[in-house]
Amino acid sequence: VLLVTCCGPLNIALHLAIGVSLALLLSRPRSSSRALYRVLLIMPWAVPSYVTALAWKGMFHRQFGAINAMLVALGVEPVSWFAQFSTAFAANVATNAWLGFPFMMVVTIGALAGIPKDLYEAAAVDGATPWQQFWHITLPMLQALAGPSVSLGTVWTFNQFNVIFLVSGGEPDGATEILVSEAYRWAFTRQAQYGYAAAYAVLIFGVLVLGTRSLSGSRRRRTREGAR
Amino acid sequence: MRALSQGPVVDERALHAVLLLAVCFALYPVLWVVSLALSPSVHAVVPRAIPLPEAPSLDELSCDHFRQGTNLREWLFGRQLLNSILVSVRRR
Repeated sequence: VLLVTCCGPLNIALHLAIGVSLALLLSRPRSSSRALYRVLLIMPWAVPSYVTALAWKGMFHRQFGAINAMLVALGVEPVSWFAQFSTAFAANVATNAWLGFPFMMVVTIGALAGIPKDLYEAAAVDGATPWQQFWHITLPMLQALAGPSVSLGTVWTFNQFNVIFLVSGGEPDGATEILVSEAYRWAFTRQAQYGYAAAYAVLIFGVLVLGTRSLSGSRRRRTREGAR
Repeated sequence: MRALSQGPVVDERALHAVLLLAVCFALYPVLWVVSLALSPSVHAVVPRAIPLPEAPSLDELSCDHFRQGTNLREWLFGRQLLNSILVSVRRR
């Protein structure tokens, strides 16, 4: 359970990769219809959890799901997504990536707007290429500004009860349970073992405190090294 | 001169292609749910990759699904809507 829970960094990496890439594309000064794209891309964030679960659980359904319909159209055998760990885990990751990237995109758009334009102008005067400007101005500034959102995203993903409980339901055989869904099971589906559930809650709190402390510590170290 | 003006156009097209792909990824599950809601009950379980109902219908939105009895007090949808409004008002 802890192992599956700790695969959260994979989710965060996906949120960051998709969210930051889209934010960079949307913040290009030349790109037209930016507002429309932004509204459409924020949509997953506005969808209630149960609709997300209904959509993704239905889309991964063995018989009637859209994903298998696409695979069949491509000539691939349909997959029983929740019958084995790897595919059930992939379904959870896909759902969570869909849910999480708009937040990272919005935060990154805000962070990009906060980078002073003078830096780019100075770099351009010094002959820096757009790629060099990205590596030496945009990325370091984003790291500093987007740090808290990464911490927040990590905590949210770590406690992402809805996706696990509603999409995979812990299948197969509890292999995709995470700490919070396991705590729920102890409290409400296994003869009301509230003590175990409470122990899980304390454990989750401890892990999150340690995780966020180490994240902010490493961020502070990087900032100090950058200042030198 | 022509080569210079073509560069940004191609660039812009690639940008739109990537953004449209992302929009498809973002909207596909939502459209899938909408198409399911607008499909007649018998067609709702047909596997389909394109999220568009073959024969759009409002069957699933008919009042029968939202009502337990004929009495207004047993009108479930109304009760649930009222509960949602009360909860959201209290949260403010």
